[in-house]
Amino acid sequence: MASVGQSQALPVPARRTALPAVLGYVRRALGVLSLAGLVYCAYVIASGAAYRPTLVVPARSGGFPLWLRGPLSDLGYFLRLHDFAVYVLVMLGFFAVALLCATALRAGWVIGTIVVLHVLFFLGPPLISGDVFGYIDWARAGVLHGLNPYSTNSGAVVSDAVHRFVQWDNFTSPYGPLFTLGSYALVPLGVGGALWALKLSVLAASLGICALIWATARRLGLAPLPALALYGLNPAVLVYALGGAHNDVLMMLPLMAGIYLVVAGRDRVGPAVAALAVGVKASAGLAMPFVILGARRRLDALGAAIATGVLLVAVAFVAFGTQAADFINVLGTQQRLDSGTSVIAQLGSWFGWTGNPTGARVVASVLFGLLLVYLIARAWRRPRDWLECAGWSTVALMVSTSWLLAWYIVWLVPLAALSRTRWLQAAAVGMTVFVVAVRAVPILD
Amino acid sequence: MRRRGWQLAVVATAVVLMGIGPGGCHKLDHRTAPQKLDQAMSKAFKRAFAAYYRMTTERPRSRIVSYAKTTCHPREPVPHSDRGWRWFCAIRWIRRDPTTAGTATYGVEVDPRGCFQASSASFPPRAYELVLHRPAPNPLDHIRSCP
Repeated sequence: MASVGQSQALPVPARRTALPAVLGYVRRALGVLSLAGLVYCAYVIASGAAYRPTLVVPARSGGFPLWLRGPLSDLGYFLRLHDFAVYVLVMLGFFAVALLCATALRAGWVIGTIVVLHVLFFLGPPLISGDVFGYIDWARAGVLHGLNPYSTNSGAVVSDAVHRFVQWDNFTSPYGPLFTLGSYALVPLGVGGALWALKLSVLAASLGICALIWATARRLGLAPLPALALYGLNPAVLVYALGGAHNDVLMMLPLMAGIYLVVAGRDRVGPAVAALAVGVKASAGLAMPFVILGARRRLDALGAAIATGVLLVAVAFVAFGTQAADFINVLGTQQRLDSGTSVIAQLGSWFGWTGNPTGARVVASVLFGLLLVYLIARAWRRPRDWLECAGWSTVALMVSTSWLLAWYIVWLVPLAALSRTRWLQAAAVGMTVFVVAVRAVPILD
Repeated sequence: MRRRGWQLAVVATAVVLMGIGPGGCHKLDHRTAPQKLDQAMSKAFKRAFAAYYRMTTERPRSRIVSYAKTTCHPREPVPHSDRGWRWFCAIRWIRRDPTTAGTATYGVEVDPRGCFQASSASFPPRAYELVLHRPAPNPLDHIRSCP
Protein backbone atom coordinates (compact mmCIF):
# COMPACT_ATOMS: atom_id res chain seq x y z
CA MET A 1 0.00 0.00 0.00
CA ALA A 2 2.84 2.24 0.86
CA SER A 3 4.18 1.88 -2.61
CA VAL A 4 0.76 2.62 -4.04
CA GLY A 5 0.47 5.72 -1.84
CA GLN A 6 3.82 7.00 -3.01
CA SER A 7 2.97 6.41 -6.64
CA GLN A 8 -0.29 8.37 -6.22
CA ALA A 9 1.44 11.27 -4.42
CA LEU A 10 4.32 11.69 -6.81
CA PRO A 11 2.52 13.23 -9.85
CA VAL A 12 1.23 16.25 -7.86
CA PRO A 13 4.64 17.88 -7.06
CA ALA A 14 5.86 16.82 -10.50
CA ARG A 15 3.05 18.84 -12.13
CA ARG A 16 3.81 21.82 -9.89
CA THR A 17 7.49 21.92 -10.87
CA ALA A 18 7.05 21.09 -14.56
CA LEU A 19 5.70 24.46 -15.71
CA PRO A 20 8.38 26.66 -14.05
CA ALA A 21 11.05 24.30 -15.34
CA VAL A 22 9.70 24.53 -18.87
CA LEU A 23 9.36 28.30 -18.60
CA GLY A 24 12.94 28.53 -17.35
CA TYR A 25 14.08 26.39 -20.24
CA VAL A 26 12.18 28.56 -22.74
CA ARG A 27 13.58 31.75 -21.22
CA ARG A 28 17.08 30.40 -21.39
CA ALA A 29 16.61 29.27 -25.00
CA LEU A 30 15.15 32.66 -25.99
CA GLY A 31 17.94 34.43 -24.14
CA VAL A 32 20.64 32.43 -25.90
CA LEU A 33 18.98 33.00 -29.26
CA SER A 34 18.79 36.74 -28.60
CA LEU A 35 22.50 36.80 -27.73
CA ALA A 36 23.31 34.95 -30.95
CA GLY A 37 21.03 37.33 -32.86
CA LEU A 38 22.81 40.37 -31.41
CA VAL A 39 26.19 38.97 -32.46
CA TYR A 40 24.89 38.16 -35.93
CA CYS A 41 23.45 41.68 -36.46
CA ALA A 42 26.64 43.28 -35.11
CA TYR A 43 28.71 41.19 -37.51
CA VAL A 44 26.51 42.16 -40.48
CA ILE A 45 26.64 45.87 -39.59
CA ALA A 46 30.38 46.05 -38.86
CA SER A 47 31.48 43.98 -41.86
CA GLY A 48 28.87 45.44 -44.22
CA ALA A 49 29.81 49.01 -43.35
CA ALA A 50 33.42 48.15 -44.16
CA TYR A 51 32.67 46.36 -47.44
CA ARG A 52 31.64 49.32 -49.64
CA PRO A 53 31.45 53.06 -48.93
CA THR A 54 27.87 54.08 -48.05
CA LEU A 55 26.13 56.70 -45.92
CA VAL A 56 26.68 54.42 -42.91
CA VAL A 57 30.28 55.71 -42.78
CA PRO A 58 30.19 59.52 -43.24
CA ALA A 59 33.99 59.79 -43.29
CA ARG A 60 34.02 57.96 -46.63
CA SER A 61 33.66 61.39 -48.29
CA GLY A 62 37.44 61.66 -47.85
CA GLY A 63 38.16 58.22 -49.34
CA PHE A 64 37.88 54.66 -48.03
CA PRO A 65 41.42 53.44 -47.33
CA LEU A 66 42.07 50.13 -45.55
CA TRP A 67 42.96 51.86 -42.29
CA LEU A 68 39.46 53.40 -42.29
CA ARG A 69 37.60 50.23 -43.36
CA GLY A 70 39.30 47.94 -40.88
CA PRO A 71 40.00 44.21 -41.05
CA LEU A 72 36.39 43.12 -41.73
CA SER A 73 36.15 44.81 -45.12
CA ASP A 74 36.53 41.66 -47.24
CA LEU A 75 34.00 39.64 -45.25
CA GLY A 76 30.92 41.81 -45.63
CA TYR A 77 27.99 42.37 -47.96
CA PHE A 78 26.68 45.59 -49.44
CA LEU A 79 24.91 47.38 -46.58
CA ARG A 80 22.74 50.29 -47.65
CA LEU A 81 21.54 52.83 -45.07
CA HIS A 82 18.11 51.16 -45.27
CA ASP A 83 19.62 47.75 -44.41
CA PHE A 84 21.59 49.33 -41.58
CA ALA A 85 18.40 50.80 -40.10
CA VAL A 86 16.65 47.40 -40.31
CA TYR A 87 19.50 45.60 -38.57
CA VAL A 88 19.70 48.19 -35.77
CA LEU A 89 15.96 47.85 -35.17
CA VAL A 90 16.29 44.04 -35.15
CA MET A 91 19.11 44.42 -32.62
CA LEU A 92 16.71 46.46 -30.50
CA GLY A 93 14.28 43.51 -30.53
CA PHE A 94 16.99 41.03 -29.55
CA PHE A 95 18.11 43.42 -26.80
CA ALA A 96 14.59 43.53 -25.35
CA VAL A 97 14.36 39.72 -25.34
CA ALA A 98 17.83 39.40 -23.80
CA LEU A 99 16.86 41.80 -21.00
CA LEU A 100 13.68 39.87 -20.24
CA CYS A 101 15.61 36.58 -20.16
CA ALA A 102 18.81 37.89 -18.53
CA THR A 103 18.22 36.22 -15.15
CA ALA A 104 17.87 32.82 -16.84
CA LEU A 105 21.21 33.14 -18.65
CA ARG A 106 24.64 32.08 -17.49
CA ALA A 107 26.88 35.03 -16.60
CA GLY A 108 29.65 33.62 -18.77
CA TRP A 109 27.46 33.69 -21.85
CA VAL A 110 26.36 37.28 -21.33
CA ILE A 111 29.89 38.49 -20.58
CA GLY A 112 31.29 36.58 -23.55
CA THR A 113 28.64 38.04 -25.86
CA ILE A 114 29.34 41.56 -24.61
CA VAL A 115 33.06 41.14 -25.30
CA VAL A 116 32.40 39.75 -28.81
CA LEU A 117 29.97 42.62 -29.59
CA HIS A 118 32.50 45.17 -28.39
CA VAL A 119 35.28 43.64 -30.48
CA LEU A 120 33.08 43.53 -33.62
CA PHE A 121 32.24 47.23 -33.41
CA PHE A 122 35.85 48.02 -32.60
CA LEU A 123 37.00 46.25 -35.77
CA GLY A 124 34.48 48.03 -38.01
CA PRO A 125 34.79 51.54 -39.50
CA PRO A 126 33.47 54.61 -37.60
CA LEU A 127 29.68 54.37 -37.91
CA ILE A 128 27.11 57.12 -38.58
CA SER A 129 29.39 59.93 -37.41
CA GLY A 130 32.75 61.41 -38.33
CA ASP A 131 33.20 63.05 -34.90
CA VAL A 132 36.31 60.98 -34.21
CA PHE A 133 38.06 62.82 -37.04
CA GLY A 134 37.08 66.09 -35.41
CA TYR A 135 38.97 64.97 -32.29
CA ILE A 136 42.02 64.11 -34.43
CA ASP A 137 41.71 67.36 -36.36
CA TRP A 138 41.90 69.54 -33.23
CA ALA A 139 44.77 67.45 -31.88
CA ARG A 140 46.75 67.86 -35.10
CA ALA A 141 45.90 71.57 -35.27
CA GLY A 142 47.36 71.98 -31.79
CA VAL A 143 50.44 69.79 -32.09
CA LEU A 144 51.46 70.14 -35.74
CA HIS A 145 50.28 73.65 -36.54
CA GLY A 146 50.44 75.47 -33.20
CA LEU A 147 46.75 76.40 -33.18
CA ASN A 148 44.61 76.50 -30.04
CA PRO A 149 41.64 74.05 -30.29
CA TYR A 150 39.61 76.39 -28.05
CA SER A 151 40.00 79.36 -30.38
CA THR A 152 40.29 77.60 -33.76
CA ASN A 153 37.30 76.27 -35.65
CA SER A 154 37.45 72.62 -36.70
CA GLY A 155 38.73 71.98 -40.21
CA ALA A 156 40.85 75.15 -40.17
CA VAL A 157 43.96 73.53 -41.67
CA VAL A 158 42.77 72.40 -45.07
CA SER A 159 46.14 71.01 -46.13
CA ASP A 160 46.26 68.62 -43.16
CA ALA A 161 45.87 64.91 -43.98
CA VAL A 162 42.81 64.58 -41.73
CA HIS A 163 40.86 67.45 -43.29
CA ARG A 164 39.12 65.42 -46.00
CA PHE A 165 37.57 63.14 -43.35
CA VAL A 166 36.37 65.98 -41.06
CA GLN A 167 32.63 66.71 -41.10
CA TRP A 168 32.55 69.87 -38.93
CA ASP A 169 33.76 73.29 -39.96
CA ASN A 170 32.34 76.00 -37.75
CA PHE A 171 32.96 75.59 -34.04
CA THR A 172 35.77 75.41 -31.53
CA SER A 173 36.45 72.39 -29.35
CA PRO A 174 33.66 71.67 -26.85
CA TYR A 175 35.74 69.02 -25.06
CA GLY A 176 37.56 69.16 -21.78
CA PRO A 177 41.30 69.81 -21.41
CA LEU A 178 42.04 66.26 -20.24
CA PHE A 179 40.60 64.82 -23.42
CA THR A 180 42.29 67.41 -25.62
CA LEU A 181 45.70 66.85 -24.00
CA GLY A 182 45.21 63.08 -24.25
CA SER A 183 44.39 63.37 -27.95
CA TYR A 184 47.62 65.36 -28.44
CA ALA A 185 49.56 62.22 -27.48
CA LEU A 186 48.05 60.37 -30.45
CA VAL A 187 49.27 62.80 -33.11
CA PRO A 188 52.64 61.05 -33.72
CA LEU A 189 50.69 57.94 -34.76
CA GLY A 190 49.38 59.63 -37.90
CA VAL A 191 45.70 59.91 -38.86
CA GLY A 192 45.08 56.15 -39.17
CA GLY A 193 47.06 55.34 -36.03
CA ALA A 194 45.24 58.02 -34.05
CA LEU A 195 41.88 56.68 -35.24
CA TRP A 196 42.65 53.14 -34.08
CA ALA A 197 44.19 54.36 -30.84
CA LEU A 198 40.98 56.29 -30.12
CA LYS A 199 38.86 53.28 -31.07
CA LEU A 200 40.96 51.09 -28.77
CA SER A 201 40.61 53.63 -25.94
CA VAL A 202 36.83 53.69 -26.37
CA LEU A 203 36.71 49.88 -26.46
CA ALA A 204 38.77 49.62 -23.27
CA ALA A 205 36.69 52.35 -21.59
CA SER A 206 33.42 50.64 -22.47
CA LEU A 207 34.61 47.27 -21.16
CA GLY A 208 35.85 49.13 -18.08
CA ILE A 209 32.36 50.59 -17.61
CA CYS A 210 30.98 47.03 -17.85
CA ALA A 211 33.35 45.89 -15.10
CA LEU A 212 32.44 48.89 -12.93
CA ILE A 213 28.70 48.29 -13.40
CA TRP A 214 29.21 44.68 -12.28
CA ALA A 215 31.33 45.62 -9.27
CA THR A 216 29.08 48.53 -8.21
CA ALA A 217 25.91 46.45 -8.58
CA ARG A 218 27.40 43.79 -6.28
CA ARG A 219 28.37 46.46 -3.74
CA LEU A 220 24.81 47.79 -3.83
CA GLY A 221 23.34 44.31 -3.38
CA LEU A 222 21.78 44.31 -6.86
CA ALA A 223 21.83 41.43 -9.33
CA PRO A 224 24.86 42.29 -11.48
CA LEU A 225 23.87 40.35 -14.61
CA PRO A 226 20.71 42.31 -15.58
CA ALA A 227 22.58 45.55 -14.78
CA LEU A 228 25.44 44.53 -17.05
CA ALA A 229 23.07 43.41 -19.82
CA LEU A 230 21.30 46.79 -19.83
CA TYR A 231 24.56 48.50 -20.79
CA GLY A 232 26.68 45.87 -22.54
CA LEU A 233 23.99 44.52 -24.88
CA ASN A 234 22.42 47.93 -25.57
CA PRO A 235 22.32 48.52 -29.36
CA ALA A 236 22.46 52.33 -29.03
CA VAL A 237 25.60 52.05 -26.88
CA LEU A 238 27.17 49.48 -29.21
CA VAL A 239 26.26 50.86 -32.64
CA TYR A 240 26.41 54.59 -32.01
CA ALA A 241 28.69 55.26 -29.01
CA LEU A 242 31.17 52.42 -29.50
CA GLY A 243 30.73 52.13 -33.29
CA GLY A 244 31.33 55.86 -33.68
CA ALA A 245 34.26 55.88 -31.20
CA HIS A 246 32.68 58.77 -29.28
CA ASN A 247 34.50 60.33 -26.36
CA ASP A 248 31.29 60.22 -24.31
CA VAL A 249 32.36 56.65 -23.45
CA LEU A 250 35.74 57.95 -22.29
CA MET A 251 33.89 60.53 -20.16
CA MET A 252 31.76 57.87 -18.49
CA LEU A 253 34.70 55.73 -17.36
CA PRO A 254 36.02 58.09 -14.62
CA LEU A 255 32.45 58.99 -13.67
CA MET A 256 31.55 55.34 -13.13
CA ALA A 257 34.85 54.74 -11.33
CA GLY A 258 34.02 57.66 -9.03
CA ILE A 259 30.55 56.26 -8.41
CA TYR A 260 32.01 52.86 -7.55
CA LEU A 261 34.43 54.47 -5.11
CA VAL A 262 31.67 56.51 -3.44
CA VAL A 263 29.56 53.36 -3.07
CA ALA A 264 32.66 51.67 -1.57
CA GLY A 265 32.88 54.46 1.00
CA ARG A 266 35.82 56.35 -0.47
CA ASP A 267 34.31 59.79 0.13
CA ARG A 268 37.30 61.83 -1.03
CA VAL A 269 38.81 59.73 -3.82
CA GLY A 270 35.43 58.92 -5.38
CA PRO A 271 34.27 62.48 -6.10
CA ALA A 272 37.82 63.45 -7.12
CA VAL A 273 37.92 60.66 -9.72
CA ALA A 274 34.38 61.44 -10.89
CA ALA A 275 35.34 65.11 -11.37
CA LEU A 276 37.99 63.99 -13.87
CA ALA A 277 35.08 63.08 -16.17
CA VAL A 278 34.26 66.80 -16.42
CA GLY A 279 37.79 67.26 -17.73
CA VAL A 280 36.92 64.91 -20.58
CA LYS A 281 33.54 66.46 -21.37
CA ALA A 282 31.57 68.96 -19.33
CA SER A 283 28.33 66.98 -19.69
CA ALA A 284 29.53 64.81 -16.79
CA GLY A 285 29.07 67.85 -14.53
CA LEU A 286 25.35 67.08 -14.32
CA ALA A 287 26.06 63.96 -12.22
CA MET A 288 28.56 65.65 -9.90
CA PRO A 289 26.13 67.13 -7.33
CA PHE A 290 24.63 63.68 -6.86
CA VAL A 291 28.02 61.99 -6.51
CA ILE A 292 28.87 64.49 -3.76
CA LEU A 293 25.49 64.02 -2.07
CA GLY A 294 25.95 60.25 -2.24
CA ALA A 295 29.08 60.38 -0.10
CA ARG A 296 28.74 59.79 3.62
CA ARG A 297 30.98 62.75 4.47
CA ARG A 298 29.63 65.32 2.05
CA LEU A 299 31.93 68.18 2.98
CA ASP A 300 34.97 65.99 2.35
CA ALA A 301 33.47 64.91 -0.98
CA LEU A 302 32.72 68.51 -1.95
CA GLY A 303 36.26 69.56 -1.06
CA ALA A 304 37.78 66.75 -3.12
CA ALA A 305 35.59 67.54 -6.13
CA ILE A 306 36.41 71.27 -5.91
CA ALA A 307 40.14 70.51 -5.59
CA THR A 308 40.01 68.38 -8.74
CA GLY A 309 38.02 71.09 -10.51
CA VAL A 310 40.57 73.74 -9.56
CA LEU A 311 43.35 71.47 -10.81
CA LEU A 312 41.53 70.94 -14.11
CA VAL A 313 40.97 74.66 -14.61
CA ALA A 314 44.64 75.32 -13.83
CA VAL A 315 45.75 72.69 -16.35
CA ALA A 316 43.35 74.10 -18.93
CA PHE A 317 44.55 77.69 -18.44
CA VAL A 318 48.23 76.72 -18.53
CA ALA A 319 47.84 74.56 -21.63
CA PHE A 320 45.26 76.54 -23.60
CA GLY A 321 44.76 79.98 -22.00
CA THR A 322 41.52 81.50 -20.80
CA GLN A 323 39.59 80.42 -23.91
CA ALA A 324 39.64 76.84 -22.60
CA ALA A 325 36.93 77.85 -20.12
CA ASP A 326 34.43 77.78 -22.99
CA PHE A 327 34.24 73.99 -22.78
CA ILE A 328 32.36 74.35 -19.48
CA ASN A 329 29.54 76.03 -21.37
CA VAL A 330 29.05 73.13 -23.77
CA LEU A 331 25.57 72.26 -22.51
CA GLY A 332 24.41 75.86 -22.88
CA THR A 333 25.89 76.05 -26.38
CA GLN A 334 24.25 72.81 -27.43
CA GLN A 335 20.86 73.99 -26.19
CA ARG A 336 21.03 76.65 -28.92
CA LEU A 337 21.60 74.01 -31.61
CA ASP A 338 19.06 71.79 -33.33
CA SER A 339 19.87 68.12 -33.88
CA GLY A 340 16.47 67.42 -35.45
CA THR A 341 16.33 64.17 -33.47
CA SER A 342 15.46 65.64 -30.07
CA VAL A 343 12.34 64.84 -28.11
CA ILE A 344 11.18 68.46 -28.57
CA ALA A 345 11.51 68.16 -32.35
CA GLN A 346 9.56 64.90 -32.36
CA LEU A 347 6.80 66.38 -30.18
CA GLY A 348 6.41 68.95 -32.94
CA SER A 349 4.67 66.38 -35.12
CA TRP A 350 1.92 66.20 -32.45
CA PHE A 351 1.75 69.85 -31.47
CA GLY A 352 2.36 71.33 -34.89
CA TRP A 353 5.81 72.93 -34.77
CA THR A 354 8.93 72.25 -36.79
CA GLY A 355 12.38 71.71 -35.26
CA ASN A 356 13.03 73.24 -31.84
CA PRO A 357 11.16 76.58 -31.61
CA THR A 358 12.36 79.05 -28.98
CA GLY A 359 9.17 78.81 -26.89
CA ALA A 360 9.41 75.02 -26.62
CA ARG A 361 13.12 75.24 -25.77
CA VAL A 362 12.48 77.79 -23.01
CA VAL A 363 9.66 75.73 -21.49
CA ALA A 364 11.82 72.58 -21.67
CA SER A 365 14.79 74.36 -20.08
CA VAL A 366 12.69 75.77 -17.25
CA LEU A 367 11.10 72.38 -16.55
CA PHE A 368 14.55 70.77 -16.61
CA GLY A 369 15.89 73.38 -14.18
CA LEU A 370 12.98 72.87 -11.77
CA LEU A 371 13.31 69.09 -11.92
CA LEU A 372 17.06 69.31 -11.35
CA VAL A 373 16.52 71.43 -8.22
CA TYR A 374 13.91 68.94 -6.97
CA LEU A 375 16.23 65.97 -7.61
CA ILE A 376 19.15 67.63 -5.85
CA ALA A 377 16.90 68.43 -2.88
CA ARG A 378 15.64 64.85 -2.85
CA ALA A 379 19.19 63.43 -2.94
CA TRP A 380 20.07 65.84 -0.10
CA ARG A 381 17.21 64.58 2.07
CA ARG A 382 17.40 60.91 1.05
CA PRO A 383 21.05 59.99 0.42
CA ARG A 384 20.01 56.43 -0.44
CA ASP A 385 18.41 57.73 -3.66
CA TRP A 386 21.40 59.64 -5.04
CA LEU A 387 22.06 57.26 -7.95
CA GLU A 388 18.41 57.26 -8.98
CA CYS A 389 18.35 61.06 -8.80
CA ALA A 390 21.47 61.26 -10.99
CA GLY A 391 19.79 58.95 -13.49
CA TRP A 392 16.54 60.88 -13.55
CA SER A 393 18.37 64.19 -13.99
CA THR A 394 20.06 62.65 -17.06
CA VAL A 395 16.69 61.49 -18.38
CA ALA A 396 15.38 65.03 -17.85
CA LEU A 397 18.34 66.51 -19.74
CA MET A 398 17.92 64.10 -22.64
CA VAL A 399 14.22 64.83 -22.89
CA SER A 400 14.60 68.61 -22.66
CA THR A 401 17.69 69.24 -24.80
CA SER A 402 17.35 70.39 -28.38
CA TRP A 403 20.65 68.69 -29.25
CA LEU A 404 20.13 64.98 -28.66
CA LEU A 405 22.43 62.54 -30.44
CA ALA A 406 22.06 58.77 -30.30
CA TRP A 407 25.39 58.19 -28.54
CA TYR A 408 24.33 60.40 -25.60
CA ILE A 409 22.48 57.29 -24.39
CA VAL A 410 25.79 56.31 -22.83
CA TRP A 411 25.30 59.15 -20.29
CA LEU A 412 22.17 57.46 -18.97
CA VAL A 413 22.39 53.69 -19.30
CA PRO A 414 25.23 53.00 -16.80
CA LEU A 415 23.42 55.07 -14.15
CA ALA A 416 20.09 53.38 -14.85
CA ALA A 417 21.76 49.95 -14.67
CA LEU A 418 22.59 50.64 -11.02
CA SER A 419 19.10 51.81 -10.12
CA ARG A 420 17.16 50.05 -7.38
CA THR A 421 13.87 50.85 -9.09
CA ARG A 422 12.63 49.39 -12.34
CA TRP A 423 11.24 52.75 -13.44
CA LEU A 424 14.62 54.29 -14.21
CA GLN A 425 15.70 51.16 -16.07
CA ALA A 426 12.46 51.30 -18.05
CA ALA A 427 13.18 54.97 -18.82
CA ALA A 428 16.66 54.02 -20.06
CA VAL A 429 15.19 51.34 -22.31
CA GLY A 430 12.60 53.87 -23.50
CA MET A 431 15.30 56.43 -24.32
CA THR A 432 17.27 53.68 -26.10
CA VAL A 433 14.24 52.88 -28.24
CA PHE A 434 13.72 56.60 -28.90
CA VAL A 435 17.29 57.44 -29.99
CA VAL A 436 17.43 54.37 -32.25
CA ALA A 437 13.94 54.72 -33.72
CA VAL A 438 14.15 58.48 -34.31
CA ARG A 439 17.08 57.83 -36.66
CA ALA A 440 16.14 54.45 -38.11
CA VAL A 441 12.42 54.81 -38.80
CA PRO A 442 12.67 57.87 -41.14
CA ILE A 443 15.21 55.92 -43.23
CA LEU A 444 12.69 53.11 -43.69
CA ASP A 445 9.84 55.44 -44.76
CA MET B 1 27.24 17.46 -21.00
CA ARG B 2 24.16 19.65 -20.79
CA ARG B 3 26.30 22.79 -20.67
CA ARG B 4 28.39 21.59 -23.59
CA GLY B 5 25.18 21.02 -25.56
CA TRP B 6 24.19 24.65 -25.08
CA GLN B 7 27.61 25.85 -26.11
CA LEU B 8 27.57 23.71 -29.25
CA ALA B 9 24.08 24.92 -30.15
CA VAL B 10 25.02 28.58 -29.86
CA VAL B 11 28.29 28.25 -31.75
CA ALA B 12 26.56 26.24 -34.50
CA THR B 13 23.79 28.85 -34.77
CA ALA B 14 26.31 31.69 -35.02
CA VAL B 15 28.39 29.84 -37.64
CA VAL B 16 25.30 29.01 -39.72
CA LEU B 17 23.98 32.58 -39.55
CA MET B 18 27.33 34.09 -40.52
CA GLY B 19 27.75 31.49 -43.24
CA ILE B 20 24.41 32.18 -44.94
CA GLY B 21 25.16 35.90 -44.99
CA PRO B 22 22.89 38.82 -44.17
CA GLY B 23 19.31 38.79 -45.37
CA GLY B 24 18.53 41.62 -47.80
CA CYS B 25 22.20 42.32 -48.56
CA HIS B 26 24.32 41.13 -51.48
CA LYS B 27 27.79 41.36 -52.93
CA LEU B 28 28.30 44.19 -55.45
CA ASP B 29 30.06 43.19 -58.64
CA HIS B 30 30.31 46.62 -60.28
CA ARG B 31 32.49 49.59 -59.36
CA THR B 32 30.40 52.51 -60.53
CA ALA B 33 28.04 53.76 -63.24
CA PRO B 34 27.97 57.08 -65.13
CA GLN B 35 25.10 58.62 -63.15
CA LYS B 36 26.53 57.45 -59.83
CA LEU B 37 29.96 58.85 -60.58
CA ASP B 38 28.41 62.11 -61.88
CA GLN B 39 26.66 62.66 -58.55
CA ALA B 40 29.63 61.59 -56.44
CA MET B 41 32.01 63.80 -58.42
CA SER B 42 29.65 66.82 -58.13
CA LYS B 43 29.52 66.41 -54.34
CA ALA B 44 33.28 65.91 -54.08
CA PHE B 45 33.92 68.98 -56.24
CA LYS B 46 31.63 71.17 -54.09
CA ARG B 47 33.43 69.93 -51.00
CA ALA B 48 36.86 70.54 -52.55
CA PHE B 49 35.83 74.05 -53.62
CA ALA B 50 34.62 74.81 -50.10
CA ALA B 51 37.99 73.57 -48.79
CA TYR B 52 39.80 75.82 -51.30
CA TYR B 53 37.66 78.80 -50.21
CA ARG B 54 38.37 78.03 -46.56
CA MET B 55 42.06 77.69 -47.28
CA THR B 56 42.38 81.03 -49.01
CA THR B 57 39.95 83.10 -46.89
CA GLU B 58 39.84 81.27 -43.50
CA ARG B 59 36.05 81.42 -43.74
CA PRO B 60 34.06 78.15 -43.60
CA ARG B 61 31.39 78.15 -46.26
CA SER B 62 30.27 74.68 -47.27
CA ARG B 63 27.78 75.94 -49.87
CA ILE B 64 30.03 78.36 -51.71
CA VAL B 65 29.36 76.43 -54.96
CA SER B 66 25.66 76.68 -55.75
CA TYR B 67 25.69 74.49 -58.86
CA ALA B 68 28.00 71.78 -60.16
CA LYS B 69 26.88 69.67 -63.12
CA THR B 70 29.21 66.77 -63.87
CA THR B 71 29.31 64.54 -66.93
CA CYS B 72 31.58 61.48 -66.78
CA HIS B 73 32.55 58.92 -69.42
CA PRO B 74 34.68 55.78 -69.08
CA ARG B 75 37.92 55.92 -71.08
CA GLU B 76 38.33 52.14 -71.17
CA PRO B 77 36.43 48.95 -70.37
CA VAL B 78 36.35 47.82 -66.73
CA PRO B 79 39.79 46.38 -65.90
CA HIS B 80 39.82 42.78 -64.72
CA SER B 81 42.54 43.48 -62.18
CA ASP B 82 42.31 45.77 -59.11
CA ARG B 83 43.96 48.70 -60.93
CA GLY B 84 42.06 51.97 -61.27
CA TRP B 85 39.33 52.22 -63.93
CA ARG B 86 40.01 55.41 -65.92
CA TRP B 87 37.22 57.92 -66.55
CA PHE B 88 37.00 61.49 -67.82
CA CYS B 89 34.74 64.02 -66.09
CA ALA B 90 33.76 67.57 -67.08
CA ILE B 91 32.20 69.88 -64.48
CA ARG B 92 30.28 73.11 -65.11
CA TRP B 93 30.10 75.06 -61.88
CA ILE B 94 28.70 78.32 -60.47
CA ARG B 95 29.89 79.85 -57.20
CA ARG B 96 28.32 82.51 -55.00
CA ASP B 97 29.60 85.94 -53.82
CA PRO B 98 30.64 87.03 -56.38
CA THR B 99 28.67 84.86 -58.77
CA THR B 100 31.20 83.28 -61.10
CA ALA B 101 30.88 80.38 -63.51
CA GLY B 102 33.56 78.06 -64.80
CA THR B 103 34.36 74.70 -66.29
CA ALA B 104 36.84 72.12 -65.01
CA THR B 105 37.95 68.77 -66.37
CA TYR B 106 39.28 65.82 -64.36
CA GLY B 107 40.99 62.57 -65.17
CA VAL B 108 39.47 60.06 -62.75
CA GLU B 109 40.51 56.60 -61.53
CA VAL B 110 37.85 54.46 -59.87
CA ASP B 111 39.00 51.67 -57.54
CA PRO B 112 37.22 48.31 -57.07
CA ARG B 113 35.09 49.71 -54.20
CA GLY B 114 33.82 52.64 -56.27
CA CYS B 115 36.04 55.26 -54.62
CA PHE B 116 37.90 57.60 -56.93
CA GLN B 117 40.88 59.90 -57.29
CA ALA B 118 40.46 62.84 -59.66
CA SER B 119 43.24 65.08 -60.99
CA SER B 120 42.80 68.32 -62.90
CA ALA B 121 44.90 70.82 -64.79
CA SER B 122 42.10 73.41 -64.58
CA PHE B 123 43.36 74.83 -61.26
CA PRO B 124 46.80 75.85 -60.00
CA PRO B 125 48.47 72.96 -58.14
CA ARG B 126 49.11 75.08 -55.04
CA ALA B 127 47.16 77.77 -53.18
CA TYR B 128 48.03 80.09 -50.29
CA GLU B 129 46.86 78.69 -46.94
CA LEU B 130 46.05 81.80 -44.93
CA VAL B 131 45.96 80.19 -41.48
CA LEU B 132 49.51 78.80 -41.87
CA HIS B 133 50.86 81.72 -43.95
CA ARG B 134 52.31 79.45 -46.61
CA PRO B 135 51.37 77.79 -49.94
CA ALA B 136 49.92 74.27 -49.78
CA PRO B 137 48.47 71.74 -52.27
CA ASN B 138 45.26 73.07 -53.82
CA PRO B 139 42.33 70.83 -52.79
CA LEU B 140 40.76 71.36 -56.24
CA ASP B 141 43.84 70.01 -58.00
CA HIS B 142 43.52 66.49 -56.61
CA ILE B 143 40.26 65.11 -55.19
CA ARG B 144 39.80 61.80 -53.35
CA SER B 145 36.33 60.68 -52.37
CA CYS B 146 33.70 57.92 -52.44
CA PRO B 147 30.02 57.82 -53.46
